[in-house]
Amino acid sequence: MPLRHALATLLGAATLLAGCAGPHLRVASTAGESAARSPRTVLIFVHLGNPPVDKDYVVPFTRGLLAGAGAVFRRCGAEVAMLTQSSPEASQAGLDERLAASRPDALLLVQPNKVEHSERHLTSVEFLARLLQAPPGESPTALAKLKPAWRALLTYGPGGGTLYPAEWERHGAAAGERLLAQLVQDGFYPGCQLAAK
Amino acid sequence: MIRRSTCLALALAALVAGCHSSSTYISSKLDASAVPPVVRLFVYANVESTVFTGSIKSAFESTLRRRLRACEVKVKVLHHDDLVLDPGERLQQESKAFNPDVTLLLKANGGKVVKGQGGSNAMLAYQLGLFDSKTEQALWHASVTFDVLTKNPFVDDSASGSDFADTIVNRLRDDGVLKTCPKASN
Repeated sequence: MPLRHALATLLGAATLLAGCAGPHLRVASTAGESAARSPRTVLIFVHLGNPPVDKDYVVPFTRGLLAGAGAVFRRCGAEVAMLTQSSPEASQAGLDERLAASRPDALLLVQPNKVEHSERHLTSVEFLARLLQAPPGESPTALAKLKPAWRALLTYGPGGGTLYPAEWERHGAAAGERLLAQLVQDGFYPGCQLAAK
Repeated sequence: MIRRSTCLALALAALVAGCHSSSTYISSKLDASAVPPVVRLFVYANVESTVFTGSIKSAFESTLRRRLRACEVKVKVLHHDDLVLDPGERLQQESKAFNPDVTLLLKANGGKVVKGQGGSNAMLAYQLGLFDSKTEQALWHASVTFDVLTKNPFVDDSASGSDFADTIVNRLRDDGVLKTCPKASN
């Protein structure tokens, strides 16, 4: 019984520690002056890279990022569709097809830009996020026709140690929310309340 | 005895300090049967990373300029900035202002960075393309792999950056793109 108790205590402490290790997030951004400030429909496209870097983290992190960013967009009154792909060749064709079909007001593209490891763990990832919009009066049917409206670099550090998929996902959601908070801070969706009610 | 070993250690340290620790591998191909004379060269470098920064980046640029000047080429180097809203438009504007004969695009193409106690070990890949600035015709292209140890007290990062630039200019010379380079330059 004492052994069981000790194990439970250890497990509890480990869970607590894992829960405390929050992600490190930093964002820098540039906003275009003539961009539409409240796009009503948004397609979020996360490009995982080819080959997908660090598969263990990429899949749950991306899922979290999409959920986090999507939730804020919805809170700001936008309708959101999502797309992820891992091959650049597939991405261009698939994205154009999706754009032509759904014709969103804006496209948010997120892709890993720079990745760093220690000898054992992922230490830092820089994501490049771009919000693109069709020129006024035009319908977005292909990536090449879209104009840049906002651009951000999101630097993420997991905080060390081995993380479980649920933690990667939680970190991804925090990253998505942080990214969208920056978008709102830069003048998009004026009046949008960032915090969930 | 202690004095002797101290001297030996100091000599060894002096010998090791200032060494560069990088290897640059390049494979290239001419895309055009004739390359126009290169008098004005516009370089757009999208090479910066957590490794390719600081003294590596500045030594790369200064060596590139020095080597191209020696080839009687006027050069303008523009570094990519991830936070510029429309990098393509900026490239066009800056290129138009410089009015180059050819444009050299350098683009990071992935790689791996491992941070350890003794610095960062990186294997970085780059794609290079040379284009006629008037016709946009592809003239030459290359793939470069840059293996480098950086942020190590015994490694001279500047020498690694220079090595990267030297490899590119040497190959442009050897492939006949730069016809006015001094033969003796390394």
